Parts: sequence; C-alpha cells; structure tokens
Amino acid sequence: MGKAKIGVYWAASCGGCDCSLLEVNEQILDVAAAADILLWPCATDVKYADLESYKNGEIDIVLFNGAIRTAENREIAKLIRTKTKALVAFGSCAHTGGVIGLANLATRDEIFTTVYGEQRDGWPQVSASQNGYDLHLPEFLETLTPLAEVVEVDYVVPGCPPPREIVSQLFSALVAGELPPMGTVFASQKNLCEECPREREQEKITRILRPHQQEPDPEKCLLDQGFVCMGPATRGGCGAVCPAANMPCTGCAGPTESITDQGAAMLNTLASLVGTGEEGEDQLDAEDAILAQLDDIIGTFYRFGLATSLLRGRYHEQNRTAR
Amino acid sequence: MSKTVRHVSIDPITRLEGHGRIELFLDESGGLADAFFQIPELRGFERFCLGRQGEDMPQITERICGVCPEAHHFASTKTLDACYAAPPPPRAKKLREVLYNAYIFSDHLLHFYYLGGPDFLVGPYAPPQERNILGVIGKVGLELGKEVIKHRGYGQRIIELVGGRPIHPVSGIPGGQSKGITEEERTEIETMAASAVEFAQATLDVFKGKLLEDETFVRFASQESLALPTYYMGLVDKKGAVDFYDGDVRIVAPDGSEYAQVGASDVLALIEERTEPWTYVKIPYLKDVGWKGFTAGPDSGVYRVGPLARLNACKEIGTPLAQTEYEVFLDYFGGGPVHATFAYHWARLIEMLSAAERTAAFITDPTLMEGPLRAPLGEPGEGVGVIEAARGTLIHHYGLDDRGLIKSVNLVVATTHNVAAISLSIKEMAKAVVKDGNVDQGILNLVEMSFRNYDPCLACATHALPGQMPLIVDVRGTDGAVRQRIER
Amino acid sequence: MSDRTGPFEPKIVAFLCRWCSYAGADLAGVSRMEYPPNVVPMRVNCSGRVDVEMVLAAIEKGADGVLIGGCHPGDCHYVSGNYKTRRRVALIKRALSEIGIDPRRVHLEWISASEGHKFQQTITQFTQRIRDLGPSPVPAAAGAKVGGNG
Repeated sequence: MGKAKIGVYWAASCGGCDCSLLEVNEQILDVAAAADILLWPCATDVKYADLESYKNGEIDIVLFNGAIRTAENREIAKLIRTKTKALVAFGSCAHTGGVIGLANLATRDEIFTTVYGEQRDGWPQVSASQNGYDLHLPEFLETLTPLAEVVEVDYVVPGCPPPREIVSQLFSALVAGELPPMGTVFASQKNLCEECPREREQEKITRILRPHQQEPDPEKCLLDQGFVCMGPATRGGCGAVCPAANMPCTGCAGPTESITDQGAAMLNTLASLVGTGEEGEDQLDAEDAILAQLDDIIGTFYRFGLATSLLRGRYHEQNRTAR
Repeated sequence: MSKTVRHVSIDPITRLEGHGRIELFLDESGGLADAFFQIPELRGFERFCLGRQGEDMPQITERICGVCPEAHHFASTKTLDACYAAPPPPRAKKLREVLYNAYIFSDHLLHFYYLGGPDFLVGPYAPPQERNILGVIGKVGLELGKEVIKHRGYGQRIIELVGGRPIHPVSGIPGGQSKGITEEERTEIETMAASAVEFAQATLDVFKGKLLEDETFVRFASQESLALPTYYMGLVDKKGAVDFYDGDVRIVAPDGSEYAQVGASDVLALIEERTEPWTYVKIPYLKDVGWKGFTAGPDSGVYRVGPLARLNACKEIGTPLAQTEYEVFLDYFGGGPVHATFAYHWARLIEMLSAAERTAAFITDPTLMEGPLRAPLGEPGEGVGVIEAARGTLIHHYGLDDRGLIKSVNLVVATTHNVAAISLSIKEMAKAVVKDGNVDQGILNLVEMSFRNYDPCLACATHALPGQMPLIVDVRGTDGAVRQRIER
Repeated sequence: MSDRTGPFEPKIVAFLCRWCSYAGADLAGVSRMEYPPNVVPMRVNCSGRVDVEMVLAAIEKGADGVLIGGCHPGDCHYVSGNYKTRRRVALIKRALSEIGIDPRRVHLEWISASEGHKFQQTITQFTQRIRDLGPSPVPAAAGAKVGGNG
C-alpha cells in the first residue's frame, strides 16, 4: 500500500495552526514514519511549481489552515483541491474566517488607507514596475471568506488553534489509515459548558463584567458571575482551558451543529440571562441599564465567526432622509 | 515595459513564518541584474482593532502570529498596564517573565532545528526533501532528535502552565495575570527549566561542531559582501544587559557607538516608513539618518533587530553561562559590533541559553507564589508597551476611550524593522552565488539561506501601523521612475 | 430576490404573536382598516419565540424592515416571553448599529388583541419609516462589496 501522502498549507494565517501540529511532540515521528509530506511551506522546501506538477488526487489529505484573503489564497486553494483526495479546513480561519474575518468590518480601500495612507498611487499594486522590472502582487480581495466558500471541504478541525488532543486524534486516524467518514468535524458535538468544570447555577446576570474589572471566583460559572463567556454557543473538545485560566471562552471553535449564527445564538443566551431576579414592567429600566454595560458586540460575539455569520460584515446606509 | 533577460521566481520561500517570494532577474552573462523580496500578504489588523475592547487586544493581536503569539500578547498586555497606569504586582510580573523567557527559548529552538538550521544541520547542498526537521533528525540521530522535540515541548508546556494555552495564551490582563500557578506546576517548571539550560548548552555544542566546522557556513560568515554594517536596535536593562521583557531601546551605529537610548514611548519618533508598490510590507528606517536606498553603512537609515542586533546593542548578556558564550562569539569575530549576517544563527543560540537561564532563575523566586495577581486599575488612557520578540523589537501603542475601547492603535513589529536588511542580504547573496545562469534548486536555496538568518515572521511584518509615524510614499510612473514624493 | 426597478416599495417581515398582536392584526382586517400592503406576516406562538437569528436571517434574505409584535408587559400568554424579546431586540439593534445597518429597521411594538387600530397605525408608520430609510443596504451589497463607508 505504501506510505500515505499528506500536505499542510497556510492561506491568510498566523502560523499557529502549523505550530499546533508540533504540539503532539513525539507523535510527529509516527506521522513521519507513516506518511510522506508532499507540501508544507513552513517546514519543507516544496514550492508551488512542485505542487503544480503533482497528479490530480496524488495527495491523500491536505490540512489547509488560513482564510481566503488574497487572489493567491484562492488560486492555491483551488489548485490544492485538485491535487488532494481529502481536504481539511484546519483551524478557525479556514473554518469560519477566524479573527481576521473582523476585517470585513471595513472595505479594502479603508484598510489600505489605514495601513498605507490616503494617497492611492502610493499603495501596493497588483502590477508595478521597479528599476524597469515587472513585479506582481496578488489582489487583496474585497471580502474575506473561509475555505468552504471557494472549494469543497471534506473535514473540519475547529479551534484557534486546534488543541493538542484533537490534533493527536487526527494524526492517530491518519497513521492507522482509518479516517472517519467525510463530513466529520473533529471536535465535540456538544457545547463547551458540558466539559467546563465550573459550577453553573443559572443565575440571572445582574451585572455585566469585562475580564479586567474583577477577579473571577475560580469555581463558579463565568456567565453566572456576569462575564460574557461564549461557552454555550461554542463547540467543546478543547478541555475548557480558557475558563480554567480564569478567562471567558471567546468562541474560537465555532458554533455547535444546531446553530447557524454563533453570535446570534449567544446574544439570545445573554438576553435570556440578563435580569434583576424578577421580571416585570418595573424591571425594564434596570434591565436596559445592565445591557448598556456591554461594549463591542461584534468583537465579543462574532470575534471568530464574522465571516460566516448571517450578515458577514459592515454595510453602508445610502439614504439618510429618515429622522 | 520590462527589461529582463531571464526571470526566476522562488515561490513561495519556505522554512520561515509567512508568505514571501523572491524575484531574481539575470543579465546577459547569467549573473544577477536585480533581486526583489516581495511579501504578498496583508490581513489588516491595524484597521479592525479599532473599536475593540482594550483588554481583548492581547488575545486579538497575538493572532498576528502563531509562532510568536506571546510577544504580541505581552507587548499588548504591557501597553494596557500603561493605559490603565497599573504596573503589575511583583507576582504577576515574575510569572510573565517565566512565561516570556520560556517562549524565547522555544522560538529560538524552533528556528535552529526546524526552520533555518536544517540548511547546515543537513547540509546546504542536501536534496530538498531532506532539508527539514525530519532530515535533521535523520542526520543528528533519533536520540538527539527526541531531545529536540522534548525541549521544545518543555518550552510550550511552561507557556501553557503560566499562560493557559501553549499557543495563543490568555493570561495577560491590564495590571496583571489572570491566574497563578500551583506548587506542583512550579516544581514541574523548575525541572524543565534546568533541563532547558543544559539542552541550550548542548545546542551550542552542536552549533560549534556542525556549523563552525562547515566550510560553507564559515565562508558565508566571513564573506565581506554578506556582512552588512547597519545600525542595531535592542532592549537593554539599567546595566545595558539584554532584556527580552522590558527596558530601554538602545540603538548603536555601525561602529558600535551609541546612537540613541530611549524609553518605549520615544522610539517611534526615531523611525520613519516608506511604501513600495511591489510589496505589501512597509519599510522602516532611522529618520534622522535618512533613506538612501537598500544599502548599509553609517549614512543609511537601514537598521536591524533580533538576536544579532541585540547582542550588538547591549553591553553584556545578563546571565552567566550565556555571557561566557557571548565572549567566545565576540572573540571569534574580532570584537563587536558583529556585522556578519550568518552570525545571527550563533547569536540566536546564545540568547536561547540566556532565556533558559532566566526562566530557571525566575521560577525559584518566592514572590511567584504569593501576593496579588492584579494591580488596581486607573482610568483608561494612552499607553505604549515595548518588548523583544524573538525576531526583534516589538512596540504596541494604544489610545483607549473612557469606556476602555480602542480609539487609536499603532504597532511596530519586529520583522518589519528588518525588511530593508533582508532585501539587501538576499541581493548580496544572489550576486555572490548566481553565476553563468545556473539557478538550480541548490543555488536558489543558498539565496533563501540569506533571509533565514533573520528568522523572519512575515505575517508580523505586514502589520506595522503608521499612526503618528511619518510615512513617505514615492509615486512612480510606469517606467519605475519617481514622479512625486508624498510625505505625511 | 428583490426587484428594485421603479419607486422603492419596502419589504417588511412582521413576526406577530398569536395571542395578542396577530389577533390585533386580524381585528384590523375584519374592521376593514387600511394599511400599506408591504408586510409579510409570520405568526408565532409568542414574541419570545423570535430569536436573534430569525431577525438577522430575515434581513439577510432581503427584508428592508423587521417588525415584532408582542403582548403588553404583564399580558404575555406565556408569562414572560415578551420580556426576553425586548432584551433581544435591544441587542439586535446594537449589533446592527455596529455593522452599519440602521437599527430603526427593527422595531418592537406591544399590540393587544383588541388594538386593531394600533396595528394599523404601527404598520403605516413603520412602512413610512422604512420608505424614508430606503432599501436595506444588505441586498444591495449582495454580490458586491461588503464593508465600510463606501
């Protein structure tokens, strides 16, 4: 049968997912013994020309991290799709667009103005000439998208980055030649609350706290205490390490199966929990005062999932006649 | 209209963090006419950080880089300490130092064995499929290979225990740390740190045995055209010793004399940036010296950061075992400052040892285990935080509104400072090795080896923000000549 | 999806709770009260059934405005569903503001079963409000740029 052929690629990425593959420590040697690595720009010298020369489907599986931000990301995603039998959206950016999906809050022109100044002629160009030589850059696309919007994806490994235990499971399956059915998501099917060790008492949130405003009780549920924790709307499988470190979950593993829009699901949860202890017409002002303690709805509820949310990014109202 | 005889692309460049491409143009004789280092990536953090909650910035900005997230996490956290006028209590500061030095150890280890080191550990002319960590393990043997993996694991484990997660830690908050460590964890870290010190020394032995005995390395390390007499920047403590976590920014000139020593909030005024239409990264240089093109020397504003620069900018290393190694290093090169770019590999390992020594020292400090983890916060305002990432000086600068939301954000990121020098190094190497039109993969790998010295992080590099820094933009015509200069 | 030729006619989705506001709508109907035809009514058992996702999905699918009708505070058939709705709508409006959609495109009104006239007024005023705001920026942006100040 011969060794399996695997690949790793990064699109608009931070490199953390590539590093997460090393978190399994010695298990990487088992992978190297069982598989040939046909692509991994971070760690090996395979170039795009080599990738192009592979036969269609020659690679058995590619772990693709990073979102589709430039024309090059899109082009290489399509190229990889033809060269591999199985394609994995690995990590939050490939899965839901990731933190960098927040860039959809601005247009390309706004981003370039912030980074390069207002003079458009001085901006990086798709084609430029320097000292008489033609140089090219890939186009920065107007909207950032996750991998599945460009090509068909066979597996998903969520997380920013995917945790060690999950990577280890994936590698074990690879080494044994026993990948689960296509469509499998390598994470818990349940939300984070199921594995979080904190005690939940389903108290009303009478005050919303930001993590630096108060030292949390280490045993009690963070939501109960008033910290906005994305746990109820987020897949588990990571061991709830952030709540264990006294910090609320920020939702990096994306939504559970039954949720379409992770931020919307969590906003529902918060709306249900916020209260004074009683409900009634005389409590409405107090409820409004609690809700007013929330800042930055998008950054809190859509931090990793803006690019795959229902409304995706920022809009501009054209007509301002209404008063 | 292009003038070119032959055009060769190295695409993508490999064994580094991030996306990059090298474009080589050959002349009629088959030698190098010109070379360009292009960074084709940009994600726009500077824009989408606006409006975010300040205390979320350590976790947002660390996603600039998953190889050096700790650098951004703590540059950001320190910036928030300043924004809230809340220096962390000793317990929190020491915890941060334990984590931070373990990160430096881990990141430098990664570079030597996984990224840049394989070129020499396996050999510069080895087949491409062997020029990687697996080839290294094949060459140095499984026993040492397992020690490599184990010790990188130690560095990551320490980060996890103190920071909550091994990649993208969460513990940094304004004025402190979100959690402490238990006595069991402290003991575990102490054992790992002691082993890390020994492993760092063993790695220096590997370096001396393999690289200093390698003809190619020695040739490149002594070749004049590959030595760039640039300015150097690094953080130093009150005694002028290397400090990764805190201190003043010291800049020395190519002759070693002090050019400037300033606090974090004053260093931004010393730097200016320019854009080029053929790369997404901006190019900083020392403003008062000026931009003279891609060239090095006392009259050129090009400067360098990172291990070699820190060793040039400091007066001493600050830890005993590393200090001994530093003296051997200086002796080899005939005194400092050391301009040989290939010396970065050696400097990095001296720092790896020093970082391990620091971790081992901090972890036995009794103030680590008692006392408050958080300082009381003042009203949100403006602040600057500076830290030495593995790859160089990293500065975050935020303005918070009265609700603690980001209204302004300024990032000057390690590898960005090195972009001009990297471009120069690539061109010098290409000039030296591209002859008679021979551009086989071995020759092209030699060209790549010139940038690997710097351990570049290109996802980081494309995130410097102009903010109040002056920005020079040359508007060019289609022939490449400058038509107009715009300054902001 | 949306036909934008000719003068702008708002498309409004109204989630109406069965016990109060939908009954109020029925009353307006049998009383032959006139009101603009721009509303697509969706009956739900309780306004509390309307979650954030439903409202955002309506906007994503082309609604220029979303109206939610519930029982007056204290009158909810299921006791407190309407209080939850009220808090959700507050959060929806905040989220919409942050992404550049005018929060006035989502509106919550308490309409009882006997308030046919109030139903008529609400629909008339809300339709005019949406007409003044213009088409939702969302369908206009579909397929083109998403983002920023244009």
